Amino acid sequence: TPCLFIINYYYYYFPDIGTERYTFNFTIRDSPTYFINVQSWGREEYIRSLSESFRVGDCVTIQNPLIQSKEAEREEKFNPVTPSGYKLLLSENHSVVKTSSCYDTDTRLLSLLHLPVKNPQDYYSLGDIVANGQSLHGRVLNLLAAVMAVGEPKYFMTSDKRKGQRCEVKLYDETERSFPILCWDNESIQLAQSWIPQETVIFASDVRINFDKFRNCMTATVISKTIITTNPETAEANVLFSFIKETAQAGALPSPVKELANETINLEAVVDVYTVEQLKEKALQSEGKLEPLHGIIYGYISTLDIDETTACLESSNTCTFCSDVPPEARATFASFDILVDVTDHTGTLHSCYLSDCVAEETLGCTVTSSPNWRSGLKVNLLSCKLADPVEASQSFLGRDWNYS
Amino acid sequence: QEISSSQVKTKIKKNSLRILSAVIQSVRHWSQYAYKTALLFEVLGTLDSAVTSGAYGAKNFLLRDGKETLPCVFYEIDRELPRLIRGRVHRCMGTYDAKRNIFKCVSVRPATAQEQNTFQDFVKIADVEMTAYVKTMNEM
Repeated sequence: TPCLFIINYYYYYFPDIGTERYTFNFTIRDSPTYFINVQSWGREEYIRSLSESFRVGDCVTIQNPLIQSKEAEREEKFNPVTPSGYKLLLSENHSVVKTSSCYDTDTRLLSLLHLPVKNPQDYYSLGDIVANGQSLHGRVLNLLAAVMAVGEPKYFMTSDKRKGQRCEVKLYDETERSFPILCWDNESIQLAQSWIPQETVIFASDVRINFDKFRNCMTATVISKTIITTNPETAEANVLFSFIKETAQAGALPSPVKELANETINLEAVVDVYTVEQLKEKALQSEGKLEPLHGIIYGYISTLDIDETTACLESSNTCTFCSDVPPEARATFASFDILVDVTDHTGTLHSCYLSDCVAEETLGCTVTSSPNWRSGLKVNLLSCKLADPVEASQSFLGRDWNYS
Repeated sequence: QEISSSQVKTKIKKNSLRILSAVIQSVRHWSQYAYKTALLFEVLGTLDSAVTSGAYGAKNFLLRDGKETLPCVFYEIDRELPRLIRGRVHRCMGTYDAKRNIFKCVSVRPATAQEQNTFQDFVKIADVEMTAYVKTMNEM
């Protein structure tokens, strides 16, 4: 068959001596056993248009590639480990890459999409990683886990003035209810955005494990060697699928929104004060950039919809059943997600999320907001305390508006 | 499903509820614009009457600031009105019914010293905001 599947994709550039030469690597597969890395070098326009012409999971035909023996050690430092002793080189002048639509694709090829590139039994459960802890820092290994929540991509500027992006996904399995995996490249971020929280299972080969000192937890990172298989068709994945179904039916999982609200935000560092109107303006200005905005609002809670609240409370008296459950698992059953409206003299922010620990602390607000295409404006209240009227009035009066 | 950016804009920009700190005079003034945007007021005033019971669980009383007085009603639907002391400053949240000249309270309690000290500032802030808002409304 001339068709090959893209299973990995990485795009970066090297400022070569004198000129800037760009490179784009991907990995193709045409059978359960065989896959091979492809590398293309060239001018920026060529590489960019090539990289934009297909995505992971697409089917391509490659004509006239140069076949080269690979130096395994050097090659596999930054690329997926392949069973092949060769790699393919693409050049602008000699090689052609054609993409074909999924309708023309051989079904045998399509089934490869759900077949991990590693032995399906060779993975770490999230609990194994947490249990091993810092001794796994820097290790590259395989994961099988379900997607709990997918964060929005966050954009930033690197120290050398290039645009960077980052997206955090929370994973879970039978052993851990929340484990972060980080994506830094466009392709894996796009892929992650297609995952359905609490439905999708992934097998990720060769992710790097790190210990996050700031959060004091283990994390996984998608690197250029990583190959992610979405919804793998393996016995091990099927067990996980049934687990997802059971926990969803038991209502034992927190909502994805809440899960992401716990991302690392240093409340002390939040100092900008907004009125509701200013926050809405900000959200409109930054539309499409999906950049989270952190700030403080002095306002009133004007709606507290207890009837609509998806609250699942555990009894404060521990029953015989609960006493056997470890405390961290018990916490799963107590969760709050309260929707509130926050109002000041300039208007109202509707549907702000107040999740459990914040709901408990209550009143006076630090707000994170991000424009969200699906719901208009999404606001998570990270902290809600009774405002000091003196502080609030000073904050309003201290502006350059004319209040005299 | 996706929502176009203009839809998002109208959703965000739509006139939404505002909560204004107000003296009695400004309650009456800004209520004229309540048909344009929903308004809820925070009023601080001295209780200047006994609290009397009316029909449908109503509790009536009079609030005063300076020379202005404001007839208030609180309906004891889901909770009772706490004991209010005549001569003390109270904080009332509610809406103003201009036709009946009555302030419908949703919450009444004694005002804290701090609230009394900062109240004029908040009134000023709300006045500036509403003046600007009304001006833009008239220009449209």
